[in-house]
Amino acid sequence: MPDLLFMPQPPATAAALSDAPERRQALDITRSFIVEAPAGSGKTGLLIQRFLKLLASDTVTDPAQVLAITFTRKATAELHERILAQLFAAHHRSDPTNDFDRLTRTFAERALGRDRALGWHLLEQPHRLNIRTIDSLAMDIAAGLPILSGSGGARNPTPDAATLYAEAARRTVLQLGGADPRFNHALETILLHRDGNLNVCERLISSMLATRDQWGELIPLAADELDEAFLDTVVLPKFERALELAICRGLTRLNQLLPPSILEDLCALAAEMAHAEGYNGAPSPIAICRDRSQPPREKAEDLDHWRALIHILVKPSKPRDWRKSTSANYVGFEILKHHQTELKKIIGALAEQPGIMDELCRINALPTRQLPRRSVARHQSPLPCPQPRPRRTPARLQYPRHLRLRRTRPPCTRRSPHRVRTRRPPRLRQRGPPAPARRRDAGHLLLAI
Amino acid sequence: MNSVGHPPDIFSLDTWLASLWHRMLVQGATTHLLLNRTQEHALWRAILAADREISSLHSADLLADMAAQAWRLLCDHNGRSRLHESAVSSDTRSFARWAKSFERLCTRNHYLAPAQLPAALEAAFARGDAPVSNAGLVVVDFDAPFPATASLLASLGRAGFPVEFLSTALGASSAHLAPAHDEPAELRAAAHWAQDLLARNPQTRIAVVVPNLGDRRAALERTFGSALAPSLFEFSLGRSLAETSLVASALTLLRWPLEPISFDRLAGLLLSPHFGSPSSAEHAAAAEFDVSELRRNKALRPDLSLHDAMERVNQSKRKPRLNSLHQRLRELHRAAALAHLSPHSTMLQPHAVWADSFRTVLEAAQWNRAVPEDSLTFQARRRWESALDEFATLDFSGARITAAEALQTLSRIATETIFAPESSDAPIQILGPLELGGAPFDALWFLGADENTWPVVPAAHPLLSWQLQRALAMPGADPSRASAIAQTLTRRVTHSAANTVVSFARHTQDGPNRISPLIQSFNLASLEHHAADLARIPLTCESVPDTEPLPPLPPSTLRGGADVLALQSACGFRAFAEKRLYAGAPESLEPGLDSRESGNLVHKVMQAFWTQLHSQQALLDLTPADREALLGDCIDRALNLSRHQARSPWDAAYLGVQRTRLQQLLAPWLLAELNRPTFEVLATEQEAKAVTIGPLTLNVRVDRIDRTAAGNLILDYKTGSAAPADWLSDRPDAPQLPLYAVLADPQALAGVAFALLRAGEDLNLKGYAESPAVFGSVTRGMPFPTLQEQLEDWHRILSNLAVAFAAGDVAVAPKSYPKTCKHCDQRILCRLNPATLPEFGEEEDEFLDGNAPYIAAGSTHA
Repeated sequence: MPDLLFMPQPPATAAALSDAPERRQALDITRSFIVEAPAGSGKTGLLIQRFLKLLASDTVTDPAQVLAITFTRKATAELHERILAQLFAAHHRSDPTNDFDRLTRTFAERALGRDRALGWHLLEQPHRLNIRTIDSLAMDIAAGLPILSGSGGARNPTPDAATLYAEAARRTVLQLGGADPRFNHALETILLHRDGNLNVCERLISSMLATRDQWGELIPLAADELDEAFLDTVVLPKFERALELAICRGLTRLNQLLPPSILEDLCALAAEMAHAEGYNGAPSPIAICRDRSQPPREKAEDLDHWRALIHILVKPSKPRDWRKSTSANYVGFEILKHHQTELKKIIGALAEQPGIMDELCRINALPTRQLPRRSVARHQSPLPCPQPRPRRTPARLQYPRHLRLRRTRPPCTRRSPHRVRTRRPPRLRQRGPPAPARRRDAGHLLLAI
Repeated sequence: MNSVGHPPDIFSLDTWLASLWHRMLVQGATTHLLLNRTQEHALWRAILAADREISSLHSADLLADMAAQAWRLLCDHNGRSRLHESAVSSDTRSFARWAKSFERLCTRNHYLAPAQLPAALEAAFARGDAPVSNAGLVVVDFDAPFPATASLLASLGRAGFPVEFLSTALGASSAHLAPAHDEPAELRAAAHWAQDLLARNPQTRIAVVVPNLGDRRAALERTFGSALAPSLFEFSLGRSLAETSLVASALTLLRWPLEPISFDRLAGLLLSPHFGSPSSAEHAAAAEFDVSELRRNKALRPDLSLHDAMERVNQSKRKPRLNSLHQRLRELHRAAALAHLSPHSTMLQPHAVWADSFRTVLEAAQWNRAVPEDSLTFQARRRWESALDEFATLDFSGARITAAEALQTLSRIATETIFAPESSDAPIQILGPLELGGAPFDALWFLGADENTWPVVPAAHPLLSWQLQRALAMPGADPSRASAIAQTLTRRVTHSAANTVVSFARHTQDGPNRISPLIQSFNLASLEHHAADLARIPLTCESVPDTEPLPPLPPSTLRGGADVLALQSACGFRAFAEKRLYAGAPESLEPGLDSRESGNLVHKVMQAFWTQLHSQQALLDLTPADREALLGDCIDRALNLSRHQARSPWDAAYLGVQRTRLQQLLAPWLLAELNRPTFEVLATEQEAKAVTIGPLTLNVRVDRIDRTAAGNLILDYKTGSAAPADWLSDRPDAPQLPLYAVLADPQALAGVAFALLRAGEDLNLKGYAESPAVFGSVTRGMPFPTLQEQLEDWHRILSNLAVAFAAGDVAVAPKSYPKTCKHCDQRILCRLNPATLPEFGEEEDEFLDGNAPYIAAGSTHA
């Protein structure tokens, strides 16, 4: 395992003092670390120091052996710029103005010494610093191993593949009536699912291609994985777990924004209001709250409770906004006078919380947890298409709307700003010892996220 | 150095080496065939195809090119003998294996790859076989010759042949640095500088050197094009031969006998000046044929086989004007069949035979008959001829191929061949740094001298091991050598003209940008920017009096009479443009039925159904099975009635899907009809001829009229979204039903309704009736309490629209922007400037005040 230095983004001042030992520790280039810290706490600075320190290390004979990866070209340019600026400052012996620069200067000077000794000419050939986006690295690996990687040589990836997806979708629907009866059947199913409209199907297929990194892990594409038993026993549970996870995440986000006291008041109020009959003899839309005076948990099975609470607060028509009218034909049940007063107070308090309306709307857009089992089995093709207009579906397939599945990244790279509520010093986690540097391969890896 | 009267022979290195070899062949000094690029590619490709380890790879052509490159690199650096020992990874081992096969193949068959030429010539020279002229050799601008070339030249020199090295670079130049804020500003500054130099002296020869010319070409073309006449600048870069219009049309013509071509390509071919005689009358007829016939009656799949195209031309009502086209297609078809160029042909023939066939077929189709041929076409045709010759040389290995393979190979050659028309000696030459050698310029601008662009960092070749590349000092693996080359090149660029400017952009979209350290080391003086922006030519406006009379009103025989009112209601200009100027966009070419066609299908099914049954009672009398059967029957008839004939399995499968779709949509609809209050169907798709509304005479067609207990009900089938609200306001979105209503017998009429046949929605009737006996419910929310009053209001509104249309009220006043304009084809004519609209989504009254803003419209109030 190469050195790994993980850094999410962002502020550093007063708190810096308290985490000085961790910062020092993170500069130990014989060990690997994951650094988690809030925005602005100086993670990039740490990374720059470590990068320079690695350049000066005895194990590094070519600057390309130290690899720093970012996720955007902008971040790459910034990192490159800042490292070069430190090298130039050391070269011109300008006076460092703060503690960070003073410490960095010693690393930069050592790196320049190494540069002179080995003739790297980094200041004249700054492109030799191996700082790049993960995409460009992946591309280089593929281009450098044209046969093994199957890339067949250097490719020029397009940033916007929409036209290619559209072309692929077109070719797919033009396969209709071809020799493979199973494929034909699948195409017919999709077409009928979309009211026989080729254009809509093409758009659907191409939009799914664009998001395949999100559903590709969940939905089987190999022929032998498309039989009913496999779909029912493996795919469906996996799929539902993913849905559940998505729901839990949404609920967690909302729960963190809601002040607990307001939520408790709201639940108690809802439990009382739920005893009222629904409007015009219909069942009360918040009947579920009747016996639940306690706040719902961040669990998928409590989603309906959450939605009932949201129904009380937010009007269902667009644009979404806080309820102003509390008459029964809008809310769906009669609200007593003193309940109205209390509700207005709760809404007033919530409206002051920034971002809460967006989260509430997002909860309404979450998928339902369970898919109808029969429909999946019958159609053999459980495409979890995000359906912009499910109303137009004439067939009986019902899939959740607005399904957005994010690819689960490995834990060390998951960005989780919402989990860090207060500023904490960088937290260090130790990884295994660094691998010995190999020839031209990057021996050291720094990952900025 | 040369005898009197004999000018020196000037060659590029490759041409000189090849000419030496050919002389040796003629003199019998060697028997080895010097491969050309295509032949070498074919050899590598064959070797790769035989390699089982890479059988899963789809990109054999790409890999064959890479292998050829690696071989070239290896030979240029005299590294052949060290290849095998150095191959350690699986990729480099693969290449070593291929290289061995390649060498074996070459030795056995007496082939010589161009990359091996310097070494082979050196050996021949050592034997005394090489016919090098002893007149002497001047080598010009060889900044960094490859070791193999250097070694050949050195051995010539050692043997006493006079070899002289010349460098054309100037000793000194006054180079300046011109940093720009961003890339567009950089280009503008360069264009302005060139404009300025030419204004002072039109004879100035200017070079604009761009490291990443391919990427920036489009931007350069725009910026220089906006500042300078097109004849003043030209690009050194060529384009793929296959992209030239001449060769593109040839390849399309050759492919057409083998497979259907798309309507887009067909349109391109029909209008190509290289297909048939370029008479404007004939092309006009072909364009009309394309827009008015082919596109309006497109097949389910948007492509057309040659045979079907001949059929369509034959049946065209424009046939008298399309005689030449028809004859050309017939000849193409006949010649292609004779040449075995047909879809199911499995005939195997040598390349040369195919090349001849291709020439014959193109000749028969009257390809490239323009007289006189212009210079560009002439050059492209020459290049195409040599591409065909190159294709024919593939017979060197004795392979025979099918028509499809032959065409694919030829297309590849045409794609790979770079066509660079001869320089027209424009004063400004835009070129890459490597093309600069030797050309004399008075002034030079070097663009993109930032650290990310310059120098171009060479990459190591993936098929050669890194150690080998390093040991042979190949630039990709040896930073110091790469840096030396870059320095030499930079010096050449900055010293090629007396007046040199070097520029870079300080900011790119990825962030701040520095000057290339290589340039910085020259310590250039900064150039003051005298003008950041190009001078803009002020536009002078010209007044043109518009005294043309209004175009006549459309004849009442035109289909879709009520559309006039709907369009007038949406936007006066749109109605005028579509119904009086007959302006319209060509039909789009999507596969399958478009929304209008699928709507028509539903109409046809319902018409067939109710023509058989006549009343709800008759429907009630049917058993569910009979009902389904009758519906299925009507659907089949409608699908057959529609002009589409199943041409292919795809068509059949698609129509099958449509059949199921209609069944799924209409079976529940019939249940909804069963639940309505009693009715009889009086008429379906009834035409009313020459009805008048205001000053207009229209033909209209009413979808259906039912007789209910309370009176007659007019129905309009809707497969899209529709609501009774579309009948309201002074500018109703859907004036059709109100029109039918005011035209109907007021005594008998009891209501109007949309029949909503929309998948996934509630299938029901929505409309206006006073009595629930009409269609089950009474509509609320209409502005008038009685139908009678509503009819009077509708009559007023519709008459107003008719008057406005007849008077030529062409105000560009969309009812609600952008909704109204979303699917309007007239945007190119109306020149609506949304910025002048009060506010998107404002109340429509804004527009009804009569002060709707527009920026262009004829003054057509008669």
